[in-house]
Amino acid sequence: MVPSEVQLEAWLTEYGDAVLRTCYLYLADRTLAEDALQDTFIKVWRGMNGRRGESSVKTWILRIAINTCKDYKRTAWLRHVDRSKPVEALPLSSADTTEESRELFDAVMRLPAKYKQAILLYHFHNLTMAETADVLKTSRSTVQNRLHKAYTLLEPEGSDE
Amino acid sequence: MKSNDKIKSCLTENLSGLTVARRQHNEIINNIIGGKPMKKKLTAGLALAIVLSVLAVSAFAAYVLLWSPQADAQSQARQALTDAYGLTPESLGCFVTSARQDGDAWTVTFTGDGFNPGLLGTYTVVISGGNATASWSHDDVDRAEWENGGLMAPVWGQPQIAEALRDTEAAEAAQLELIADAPATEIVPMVTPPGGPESLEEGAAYWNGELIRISTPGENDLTGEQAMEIAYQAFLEEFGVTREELDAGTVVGNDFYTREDGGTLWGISINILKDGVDWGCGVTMDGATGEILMINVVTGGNS
Repeated sequence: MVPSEVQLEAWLTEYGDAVLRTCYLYLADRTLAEDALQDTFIKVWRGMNGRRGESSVKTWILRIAINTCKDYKRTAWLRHVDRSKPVEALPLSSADTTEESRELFDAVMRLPAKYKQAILLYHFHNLTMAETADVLKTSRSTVQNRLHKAYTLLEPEGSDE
Repeated sequence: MKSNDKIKSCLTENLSGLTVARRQHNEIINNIIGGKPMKKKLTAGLALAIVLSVLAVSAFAAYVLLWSPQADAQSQARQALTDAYGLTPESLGCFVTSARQDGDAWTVTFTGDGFNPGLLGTYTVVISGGNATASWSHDDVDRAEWENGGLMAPVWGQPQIAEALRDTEAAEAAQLELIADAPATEIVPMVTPPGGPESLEEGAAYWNGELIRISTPGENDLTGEQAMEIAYQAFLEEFGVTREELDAGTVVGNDFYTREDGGTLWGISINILKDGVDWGCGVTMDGATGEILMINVVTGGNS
């Protein structure tokens, strides 16, 4: 059996970036996202021995990350504190980022949280519909509805593609 | 419809810069395995905050709350909305509050920020000469439609918000049905930092457009325990929560800041469960006098 310390480090290596990006997309704030990353892995550490293995490690960790972000979003004091960095300020974003890509990303960032989560998990983390539903603790049909709604909201006005 | 590939490549391109640095990775592992308290960049350590909460309860002492003109205006406005529309603190947690002073008058605005904000609309309360006048952006809708309606009502007033907070699945289904007909969704902007946010150093933040920095209280400032007790009393008075609910909650923010003008602030947030609904209670107070500068509750996070 792999010692817990080694396992934790392996998971942070494998899923750390995914968690950080998930938290950023949810919180729109790099500093908060880094705090949420720490909190997520504290919870992973505390929960790893009791994990029942009903879902994959990735979906389990992403669910913890999203719940951590929800707690942050509910933190009333943060409603009035702003450390948001514009996406242009993020380091090392792909040099090939086009204006169209940036506009689409901004539109994704403006989506209501539940639609953003569905897009992130399904399109970015490549989870299946069932895994996305598992992370979000909802049904597949709800995920489908949320994705459909997100696509509608991302569609520029007047486009009928 | 945007193609899947387009969305995926857009996210990949724009998020590729966000990676866990080696130093950060090592810090997280060392702190977790070594059992050290985690140093957070913006919010103080949770463990410390919880200890302070426990201390606050045992060191209970009654404080006479001082309210700043802005906090007082917001409080009056909440009461006016309760009187005019039956809105409770729980339901008002789905709105973002802002207050503007114009001479002796205050205009307090509550903008929908939970569920479909367009359905919630915007409430405005003007306080002048001791009178508070409340209005709603959906006042043109027949009142009976929302007072007696369920989640399929064309706009969401108090009955719909209360139901939606408890039955989130039904609320989501209703929103999906209503979405085509719903009024346009309003986006509530954060306070825009005047100097631009990209230059902020670690531990700094903007509060209401003012630069603040995490610090430690001086001898003339309230201690963490005192600030926590004032926060408790403010939440009890303003939102009708109980001490037991606060004790059972989680302190998610207990931070001390210095202000640009040399003053100080305490910012305290406690997440609680009340009547089956998650609440985030937050208060900002003067770091030395404890005067309540701003107080709010967030319940919209449930959605």
